[in-house]
Amino acid sequence: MINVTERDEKGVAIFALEGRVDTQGAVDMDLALQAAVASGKSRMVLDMSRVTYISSAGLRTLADVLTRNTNEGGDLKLVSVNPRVARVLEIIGFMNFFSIYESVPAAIADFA
Amino acid sequence: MTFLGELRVEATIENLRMISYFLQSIGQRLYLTEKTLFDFELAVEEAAVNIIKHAYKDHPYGEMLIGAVVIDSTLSISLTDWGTPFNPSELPAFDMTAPIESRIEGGMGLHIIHRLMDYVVRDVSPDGLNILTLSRHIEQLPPDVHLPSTLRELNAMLSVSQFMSAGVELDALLAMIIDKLVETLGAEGGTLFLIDEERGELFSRVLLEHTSGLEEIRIKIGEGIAGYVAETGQIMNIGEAYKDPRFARGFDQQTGYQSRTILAAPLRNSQQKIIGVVELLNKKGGEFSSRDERLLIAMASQAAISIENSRLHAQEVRQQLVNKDLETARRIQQSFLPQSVPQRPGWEIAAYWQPMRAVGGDFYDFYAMDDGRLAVAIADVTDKGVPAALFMALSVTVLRFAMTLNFSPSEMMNRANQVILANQRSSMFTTAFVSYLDWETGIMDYASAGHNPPVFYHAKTRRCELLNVQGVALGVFKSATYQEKRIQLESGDVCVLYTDGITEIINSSMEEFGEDRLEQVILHNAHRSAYELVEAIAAANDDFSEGLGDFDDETLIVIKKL
Repeated sequence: MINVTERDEKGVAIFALEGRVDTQGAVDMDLALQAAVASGKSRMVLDMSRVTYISSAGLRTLADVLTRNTNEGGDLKLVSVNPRVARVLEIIGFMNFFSIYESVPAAIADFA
Repeated sequence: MTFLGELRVEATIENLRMISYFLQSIGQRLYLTEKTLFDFELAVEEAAVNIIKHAYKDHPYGEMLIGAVVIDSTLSISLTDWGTPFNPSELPAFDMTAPIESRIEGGMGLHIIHRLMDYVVRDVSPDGLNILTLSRHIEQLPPDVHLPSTLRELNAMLSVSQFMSAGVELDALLAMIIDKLVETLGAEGGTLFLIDEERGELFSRVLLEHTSGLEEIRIKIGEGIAGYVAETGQIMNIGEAYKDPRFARGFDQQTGYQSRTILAAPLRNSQQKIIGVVELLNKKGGEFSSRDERLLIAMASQAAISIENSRLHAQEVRQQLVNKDLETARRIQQSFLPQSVPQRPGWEIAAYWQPMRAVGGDFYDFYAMDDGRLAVAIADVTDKGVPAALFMALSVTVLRFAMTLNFSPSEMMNRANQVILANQRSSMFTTAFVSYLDWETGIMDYASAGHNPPVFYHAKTRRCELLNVQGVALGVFKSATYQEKRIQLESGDVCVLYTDGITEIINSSMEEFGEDRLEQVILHNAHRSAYELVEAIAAANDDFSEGLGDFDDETLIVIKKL
């Protein structure tokens, strides 16, 4: 189980995730992000400071949402990615596609 | 090589968490760094997801076995499945230069596995097992970390057994427990006995090297040290085995092993019942201490719970297999029944078959005779469930064959009775009603072998009569004879054949539905189609039983002349 909380700031949807984004956890994350996509949001920030683990199911959601958002002129920016999770992103070559920030305000500022 | 344990679970997304716990307990035991554990968890999860989504894609039920061994400083996790073998050449290689949107499909998990592990080996055994082994070098721990405190060791063992017992094979679990106890308490060897209640004996299938040569040890409860512990439930700490009168020297003599010190404790399950005994032999460098005693008691109780869980799990798996067999049996049985009901202008025929359990003892049959008539049979085997279904298979074959012989209904029953008697040695029997219907004239000749008399509705008089005819059930008396009668169906007439599951169903006041109520339903619905009449009888039956459930197989055939 993971915990997903969502808030809006300056027209940017900010999601704070907490827990293990394993195959089951990815379902929760996917539901939350896809619901936002469906409601027309395309500018998103994902606070991953409390994500300790991620597997390919979660990575697929990230890739899918990023693709949809950039097609709409938005983005999916990642914040505070734990080194082990970052290594997985590295392994599958996602680092070139995602912008990673140290804090949520920094990520929001970059949307302007 | 050290065997660390294995976990056998149904291959479902929900059980991925179990695998994660299993790996965490392995990690705790080996003092893996968080990074190494993370990598193993991720690689194993990806591999397990591939098994669930691909190997078992077309399987309603599948299991996977996760095993862990450490060889020198390499940890190997194997994943075994019984599904469709994976062929990596069918999957395009993961393209690191492709745009991100094209990476969503497939191959990502495999790429991760190969990047995280040193060795990835895929095997397909001749008997259909797919084995994927993931190996990686693990950090060598400093020597002093190799001798952790007993408490830490104990905790590790407990967590392993807790997580594992949900799915582990009993023999593997017993081997792991005794290894762990021998190692932790510094003994030379040991034996784990389980109680065979039927024979009043202890038996052991877990044998260490010193007993090689013995297939299975069996000891009477009450005999020897282990037998004494099983009987009294006392822990025994013996300093000099040969000086204790309870010590049984037979095994030492058989094996050439010299027992010196013995520590034996009962295994009690969660209800405090003794289910076995663990016996440790020859404490290295002296005698077993009182601290060893306490530790053994603590670990033995944990082991007992693991053993019970493992047994329960095995039972569950067996039950699932039985259910699968029953489902197959039901399909086979349904294949005995006619695929469709005969259709003929000017006539309507409808049938209903509802076994109480997965399989049942009721059946019906239609057969087009050489002279153009239609043979209709309905039958009911005494008893229910699987035994009845097997006897039904015999009866259906015999009746079907007898109908092809073009005898009269009474002679046909007579022949069927002889054949069934000659071919069965059980005490079961079959009631049957057979009628030959002439489509053109509406004449129906019939005979009964102790079957419930069908209801004949006469449209002109608007009355029902029961088609009573003498004859005993098939498979009872060799000298049985069968009477034969004839009726003629006119326009609007209806004949309802049924089994006793229809009339003998009871309501909450323990009243039977009975023939009178059946006749009432038929009288009220005789003007409707044969199909609607079947529905009306089934519905009236259900209403009557007030949802108490069916106690018997139910079968109905309605024949109506338009």
